[in-house]
Amino acid sequence: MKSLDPRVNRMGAEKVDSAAADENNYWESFEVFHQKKTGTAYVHVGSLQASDHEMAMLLAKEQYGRRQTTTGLWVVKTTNVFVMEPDEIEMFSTTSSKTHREAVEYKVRDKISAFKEKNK
Amino acid sequence: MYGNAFVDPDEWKKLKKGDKTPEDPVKLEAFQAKIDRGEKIEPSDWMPKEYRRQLIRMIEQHANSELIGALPEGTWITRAPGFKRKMAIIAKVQDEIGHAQLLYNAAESLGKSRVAMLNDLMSGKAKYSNVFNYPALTWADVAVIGFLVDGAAIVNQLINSKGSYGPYCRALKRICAEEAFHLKQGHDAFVALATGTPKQQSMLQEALNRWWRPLIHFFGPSDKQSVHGETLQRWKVKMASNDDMRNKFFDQYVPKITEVGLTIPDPELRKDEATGEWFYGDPDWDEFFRVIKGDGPCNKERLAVRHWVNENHQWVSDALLRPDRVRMVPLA
Repeated sequence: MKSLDPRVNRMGAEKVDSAAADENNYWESFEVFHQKKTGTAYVHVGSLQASDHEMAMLLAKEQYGRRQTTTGLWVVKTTNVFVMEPDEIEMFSTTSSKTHREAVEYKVRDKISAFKEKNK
Repeated sequence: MYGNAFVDPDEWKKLKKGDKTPEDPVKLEAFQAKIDRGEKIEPSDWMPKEYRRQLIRMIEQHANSELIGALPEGTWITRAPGFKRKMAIIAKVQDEIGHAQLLYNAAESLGKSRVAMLNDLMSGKAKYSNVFNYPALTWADVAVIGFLVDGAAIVNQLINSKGSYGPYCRALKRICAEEAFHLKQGHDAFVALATGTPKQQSMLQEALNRWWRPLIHFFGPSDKQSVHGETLQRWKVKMASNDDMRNKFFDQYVPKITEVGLTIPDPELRKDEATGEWFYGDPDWDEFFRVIKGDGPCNKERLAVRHWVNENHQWVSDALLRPDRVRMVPLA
């Protein structure tokens, strides 16, 4: 095998036929939160795999800071995130219809106008 | 303290063995309704086994393509003509590896581990895009790859980013944003040669002649009659037929190739203006299947590099392993 890439020729890659890696060996999963601008909220941008927090931060800088402005990064172990069960979503299905929690529900202008009119 | 987001690690193993138990029709209907409403499926949601299997196959293959796709261009980093082009190609190759990371992560959220995916890549069990089994003989080949292979990939990725699986869509959205620069720098290098000296022009024409057939192959053989494809389209796993994507590619790129004086090496290529459909000469699909099976000009070299990396870098990951680690799939 002669490659166009001198580096590939130098590494003698064709001599290597490595065994499959142990599938029980893996790094941990981390979730990455990114802040684009100071004063704005941190936003979950994705996840990555690393052996510890330091390595996770190093990879997060590379993976999520490489192409956008960055003022802050958090990495959190996926195991430390407690997640809502999917079937609990129903609990929130009526949230948007609870108008008694909305400012627009409370209209006083008509009464004030009527009151002023009566007492003129 | 640990969260509760575990996915049964045996789930992937069961899937691998081919769990044939029928799906719960009520769950299946709710799943389809959710997709029809335009909502995304997230890793913790219920999904049919076939949906999971097809998505893993598709995202994994895409990730492998990004990883292997960095090799033909990486070859030219040391010989890129000029500082600006060298900077651009280094940034591009780094992006491609970043895309592979994002996509492996999306595939992992479905339960298959990254190590298993890299093993399947090395053994030849998992595939990557055929187009990367061809060599970049000259700098003009790099220009053609940067402009047309990336252009073809963007056609494909933009369509797939409207699919139903949340993590894949999010990864693709970011990838497409980054690919915009890849495409522009490719177009820039392409136009520089096309509008350059006669020698540069003939170099580019020869490179285009070499890459035209792999480009037609890029979208895969015609699949309009595929029954299997119908389910995948209904689930928004596959968003368009191979022919439709290829047609879109012709629409967008044929004029951009011919406007700078190049000839497309297919005398039969023409567009039916009434239907908008493009017709092209026989691109030798036998060659496509031969290369997929491993008999392309660069298959051996591409996999040999992966084997070399695995063999020579394993000690690093071994040294960084922690005995107290917990296997988790990413959340999103």
